[in-house]
Amino acid sequence: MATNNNLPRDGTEGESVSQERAQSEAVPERVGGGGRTEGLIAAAMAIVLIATAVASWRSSDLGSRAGDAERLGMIQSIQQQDFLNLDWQLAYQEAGNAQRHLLAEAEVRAMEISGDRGLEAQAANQRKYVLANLALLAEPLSSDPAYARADGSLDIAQRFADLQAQNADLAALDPEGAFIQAEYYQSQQRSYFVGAVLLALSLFWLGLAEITRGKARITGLVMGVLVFLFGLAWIAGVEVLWALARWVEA
Amino acid sequence: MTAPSPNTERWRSVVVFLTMAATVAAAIVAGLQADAGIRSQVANRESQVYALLASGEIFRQGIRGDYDLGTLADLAQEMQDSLSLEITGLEQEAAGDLDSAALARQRAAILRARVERAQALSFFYTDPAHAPGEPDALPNLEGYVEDSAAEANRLVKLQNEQADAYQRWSRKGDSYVAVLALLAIALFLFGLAQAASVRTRRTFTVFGSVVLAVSILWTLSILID
Repeated sequence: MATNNNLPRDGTEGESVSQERAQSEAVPERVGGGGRTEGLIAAAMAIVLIATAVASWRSSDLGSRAGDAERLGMIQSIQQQDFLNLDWQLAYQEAGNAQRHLLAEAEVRAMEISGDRGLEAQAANQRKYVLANLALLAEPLSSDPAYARADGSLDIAQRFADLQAQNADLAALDPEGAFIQAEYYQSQQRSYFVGAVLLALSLFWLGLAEITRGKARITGLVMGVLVFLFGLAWIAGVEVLWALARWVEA
Repeated sequence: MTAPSPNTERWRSVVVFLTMAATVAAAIVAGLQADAGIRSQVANRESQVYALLASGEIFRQGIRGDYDLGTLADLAQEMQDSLSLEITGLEQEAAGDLDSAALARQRAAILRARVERAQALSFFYTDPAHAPGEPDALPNLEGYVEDSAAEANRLVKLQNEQADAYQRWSRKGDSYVAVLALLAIALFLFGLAQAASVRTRRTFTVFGSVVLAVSILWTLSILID
């Protein structure tokens, strides 16, 4: 059997088309050209098209999930950077306060050992009133030995690390995890495209089966079905592999 | 009934074959376009993350520079004040004003105590790479500025690389879309060829084949680029 999609344009063309149709209908049925094979090819093409549509939907769904994960990762990155900026600002603010306290303490100590009674009296009052208040502002850098280095300087990086560790909101953020999740979806989407190409190739073979006769038709049909099954197996493998990968990651 | 002309059958088969080939080419190009889209998306995201990190690093360096240089400026001023008071004390002693000289020296000693403590707190006097080699020498400020900018510069460089990658993949993706449009035209021409009369079928088939060939060549050139 041969298909004929010719449409009559004018009288002459219509006549030519009618002639072609008549000729086509006159083609005798040969090996692999029966109505049963024709029906099988049509059914296979319909199944392949439905599978392609489902694979396209799933691929689009994966792209959408990847986009969502990326957006979440970006939002969390911005929030994380915001927390880091605030923590650095607080750490250096505290360092400034601690520095004022430590310098005032050194000044008071020098006054105390100056041998001058007036300065000693002044130092006593400064220690009692000024240093006590400055010490409150300088907490915890000037009082906690964890932040004092051997050379006398302040360990601001350690204070920053502690501020980060204390920040529960910061600990809850995981932009890298969201980006890894997005990359999983994107890799899966890429592999889906390979499956989609396989389905298109299957359609190609089935198309060949549709236009050929005899053994070539049977070969086209068998190849089309095999490539389609391979494409389906590929897609199923992709689903299983990535589900396993996400499970292992979790 | 007469058998169909072999020529007509051959052309019809050629058209169907070319239609299938264009379909497969469209599927492959669509895959490549999607891949380019994903790669440009990832590069764009990385570029934004690096920009964020670079801005955070610049912010951190700003705060740190303010602290370090502020400490150094205060320290230098108190060092000068202390020296000035020492000289004043010597001059007053030479002039016979011993009480004023003692007071000036006491004030100088207090400032010196502050300077010594500030030196212990200052990065410029505790870090071996930036501390002055001799007692009266200045700290390595140029090295400090270079070191401070190093991390931000590294992040900006990475950001630029990712931005370039984004542009490259985005251009490729756009080119693939153009190829897909050409393939759609080829499919349209093959569709017309199937519906047209015998005489016009050949014309549509030839034009469709040319468009298909151009699409394939263009795809290859995008891949190589």
